[in-house]
Amino acid sequence: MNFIEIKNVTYKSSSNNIVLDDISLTIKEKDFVIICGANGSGKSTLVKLLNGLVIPDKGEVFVSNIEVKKNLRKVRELVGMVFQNTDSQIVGETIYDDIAFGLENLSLDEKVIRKRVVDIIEEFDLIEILNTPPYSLSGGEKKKLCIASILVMKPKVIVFDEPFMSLDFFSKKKIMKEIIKLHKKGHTIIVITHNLDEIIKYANKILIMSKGNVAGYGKPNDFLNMLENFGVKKPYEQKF
Amino acid sequence: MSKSFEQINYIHGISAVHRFDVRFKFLFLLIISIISFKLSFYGLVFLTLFLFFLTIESSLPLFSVLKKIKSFYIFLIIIFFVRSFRTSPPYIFQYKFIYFSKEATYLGFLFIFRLFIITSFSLLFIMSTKSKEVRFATYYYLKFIPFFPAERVSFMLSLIFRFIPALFTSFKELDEAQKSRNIELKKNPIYRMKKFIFPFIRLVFKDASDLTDAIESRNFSEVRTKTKLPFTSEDWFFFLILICFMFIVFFI
Repeated sequence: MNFIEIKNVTYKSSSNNIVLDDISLTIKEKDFVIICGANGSGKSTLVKLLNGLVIPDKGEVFVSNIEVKKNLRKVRELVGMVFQNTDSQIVGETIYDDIAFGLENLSLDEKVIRKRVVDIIEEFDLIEILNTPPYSLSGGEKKKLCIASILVMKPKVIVFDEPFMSLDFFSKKKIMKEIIKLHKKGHTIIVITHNLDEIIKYANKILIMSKGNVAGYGKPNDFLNMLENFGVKKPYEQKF
Repeated sequence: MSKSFEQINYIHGISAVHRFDVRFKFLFLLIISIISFKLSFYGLVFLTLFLFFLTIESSLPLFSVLKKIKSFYIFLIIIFFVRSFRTSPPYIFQYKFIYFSKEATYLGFLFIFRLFIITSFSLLFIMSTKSKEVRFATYYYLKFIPFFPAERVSFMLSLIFRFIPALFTSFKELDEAQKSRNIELKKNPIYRMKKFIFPFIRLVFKDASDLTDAIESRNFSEVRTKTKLPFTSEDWFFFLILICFMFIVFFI
C-alpha cells in the first residue's frame, strides 16, 4: 500500500527558479528510502513537501491518503523530521522541555506528556545528560535528542536530512544504529545523505535527484553504477 | 569570550533562586529596576551584598560572566564620562573646556553603579529561569491586556531567551573566520563593521528560518498545553522577605 504519494509536483523558489519539476513518486509503508543527489538538486525541498513546510505550486502530496495542505496538523503527526542543523531544531533549555515541545503543541494533558517524555528519555538513554543544557551537548548527543523529540510524537514516517553530517565515526555508528532500529520497529524511513557507505545495505529503495527531477528511483543495486554521474560517491564496498 | 556568553542562559539548579516563582522574580526585577534609581550609595551597597548572597546561594557563574563582559564596562565608562562632563562648580578637574565637578562625578558614579546592579540582577534572572517559565510569566501578566496577542508575544520572548547563546556562537564563529583572513589588518572600524554586520544578519536570518521550519514541523500551535505553576507557601515566604528587604534598603 502506498503511504506517500507525490503527484506531478512542481515547486518554484521565490526567485522563480524551478526547484522541483513535475515530480511523481510513491513510497510504501515501512520502506527505507535513501535520497541522494548533487547539492541544489531539490532533495531537502522534496522532503519538506511531506511535512507541509513547502506547499507545491502545482500537483498534490498525500500522506496516508490525507492531502498534506488540507490537514497539516494530522500530517505533521504522521511525518517527523530530523533536520540537518540540530542547533536550530532544539528549542528547549533542558532535554525534558525540548522533547515535550511537540506534545505541548498538540495540547495533550500534562500527565500524558510527562509519561511519554520519561519513556522516551529512558528508551534513548538520555538520563545521564538530562540536566545538561542542550546547546552544550556533543554533535551526536544533539542528533539523538532531535530524534527522541520527534519520536515522542509517534510518527509513522521519519525523515532524516543529512543525519551523519559533522559527526565523528562513533556518533555516526550510534545514529545509524538508531535509524536501523526505528526501521525494524516498523517506521517508514527516509534519509537524505551523500554518504551511502554503510546505510545502503539497509535501504530497499534509492531516489536519485538531479536538477529538480527524479533521475532514478528503485532498488539500490540497480542504480549504484550511475551514482557518480549525479555527484554521489559510490559506496566503498561496491568500489573495491 | 564566547564561553562566558554561552553561560548567559538557563543553568539547571535546585537553589532557592531557581525555585522562586517566576512571576515574583519578574516583579522583583521590576521593583529593583525602579527603586535603584531612588537609592542612596549605601542602599546600593546593601543591594550589591544581597546580589552576592543570591549568587553564592544559587551557585550560578555570575561572577565569571561579569568578569568577561568587557564591552559592557566600556559602555559604563562612556556613560560615566557623559554624566560627569558637565554641571557647575566646585570642579575637581578642569582642563580647557573639560570640567568635572565633585557632585557630577558622584552622580555619574551612582548612575553606572545602578546600571551595573540592574544588569547583574537581570543576568541572575536569565541564568536561573527557564524560557518556558519566562513564557508563562509574560503570558500571565500580558493576558489582561485586551486584544493583545499575549501567547504569541510570550512565546517569541522565550525564544529570544533560548537563542541568546546560539547568537553568540554564530557571532564568535564569524569573528574567528574573519580574523583567520586577517581582518584585523584593516584599521578602519566602519569597514570592519560593514564586513561583519551583513554576513551576521544573513546568518541570523538563516538560523531563524531553520528554526521556523523545525518548530512548524513539530506542529507549533498557540493553542497548546499550558504550563501550570501554582504559587507555593515557600514563594510567598520569599516574596515577603524580599519586600521587607526592599523597604529597609529604600530607607537606608
